Amino acid sequence: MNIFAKTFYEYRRILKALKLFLMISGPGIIVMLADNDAGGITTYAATGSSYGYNLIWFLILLLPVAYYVQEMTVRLGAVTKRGHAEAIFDGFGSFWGWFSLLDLFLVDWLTLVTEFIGMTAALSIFHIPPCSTVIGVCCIMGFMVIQGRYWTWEKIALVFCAVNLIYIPCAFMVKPSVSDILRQGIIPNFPGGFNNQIFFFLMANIGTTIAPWMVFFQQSAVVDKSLQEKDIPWSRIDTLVGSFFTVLVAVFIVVVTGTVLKGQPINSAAQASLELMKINKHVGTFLAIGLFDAGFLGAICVSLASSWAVGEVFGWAHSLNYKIKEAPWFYAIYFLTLISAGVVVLIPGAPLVMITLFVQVIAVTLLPAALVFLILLLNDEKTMGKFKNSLPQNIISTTIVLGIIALSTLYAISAIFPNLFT
Amino acid sequence: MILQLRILMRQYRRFFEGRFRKIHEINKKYARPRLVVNKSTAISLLLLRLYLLFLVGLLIFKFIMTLRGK
Repeated sequence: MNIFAKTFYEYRRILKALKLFLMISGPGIIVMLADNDAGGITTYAATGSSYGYNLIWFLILLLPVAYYVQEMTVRLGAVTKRGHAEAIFDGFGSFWGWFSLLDLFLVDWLTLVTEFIGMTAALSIFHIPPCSTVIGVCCIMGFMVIQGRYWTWEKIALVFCAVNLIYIPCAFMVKPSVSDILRQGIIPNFPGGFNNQIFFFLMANIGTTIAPWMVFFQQSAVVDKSLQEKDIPWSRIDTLVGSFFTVLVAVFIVVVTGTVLKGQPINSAAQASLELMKINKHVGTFLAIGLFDAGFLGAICVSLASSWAVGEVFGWAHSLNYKIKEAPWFYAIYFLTLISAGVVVLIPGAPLVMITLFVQVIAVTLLPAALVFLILLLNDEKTMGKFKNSLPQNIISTTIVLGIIALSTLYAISAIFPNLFT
Repeated sequence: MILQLRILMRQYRRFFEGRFRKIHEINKKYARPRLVVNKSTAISLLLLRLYLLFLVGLLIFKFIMTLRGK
């Protein structure tokens, strides 16, 4: 074979592989970028303003953590063709099944409220009233699903994922010192020593990286997309790419606030946007747009995670490939959770701060259960066959899960007893 | 449109009539866990129950402290 033929063959092979990846990718990238939701953006902005670039190394460490957990959901979904809620019912009986389903429903709804808080706060900066934001968001999310095609929903969601990368140009616009970032951020360090405050920030960053809805969402999305066992390698790359981007976005947010707002107390991402607007209008505006997008991405995934889970367990039609009249209950739950969460934000004097704290506590009641079930299900040779966890995978995933459980539990305790770690 | 709405309403009514029956069916369907409970699975589930009891205990403690105004 001559050199031209070889080059052409390689070109065709790479092109074919790329096409295949683009067809299979989606759930991993969407779930990972949606992980940088409104609450996540606030956490990263506060991390940067409090510690500058010094905790970037910790965010980088979260890449394999997020990947290993979500990769397991891909395998489980592709092999069993079941969502996580149904898999728990089937594997562990109705007690654990109902516990997981009801807890998921509650956590998702509370998380959805926090996403609406983020979105309304972001658009308030542009003088858009919260009522218009809630109605607009519900309409766009309704439009995304009524097409009756998973593919359409996924492509629109990927566009919103691309908007999430807005923080990257933001970081370049504030002209950070690359040598400072590398010197302070890459080598593990604890500025001011390992004290209670830094411990709280580490816990908060872990808490935003792995959320229970992510496990349920990605597994159900893999099933809805009809991914097969042969697609697992590509889905792994999809999840890895998503993990990379979620960490990249987090790092760039820390760079923005660490460069411009270091030393200023930041309580919310909206506040960070307003502060940034005083210094650089464009960066502040981009941050606000990013905050809205983050809340929106979170909302589309969280509401779907609930609808899929309930549909699986009750045996109703539960796919984005169905039209509303073909899967009325699936869409009824989707819109019910969405609209009710939006309405709560509009109620004057609603306990929004308490809801935000309560999410962390309730999420911690579900997260360990969801992760432990995930590992146990992946060790079931009868179901998983050659895709069951190997010994190294079990060691890595068990270590990660135990770490997440310990840190997220401490985070929840610090939310219940705020003075405990101060 | 009105016809579709009527069909939808009828479906919803039927659902609410049979909701308890459906839950009973689900309980019956998943009454026996399919996963073989070996020693490690049993220990994991026991630890999970203890962990959840610990969290519930913490929440109750916080609730009582809040009621007492501490």
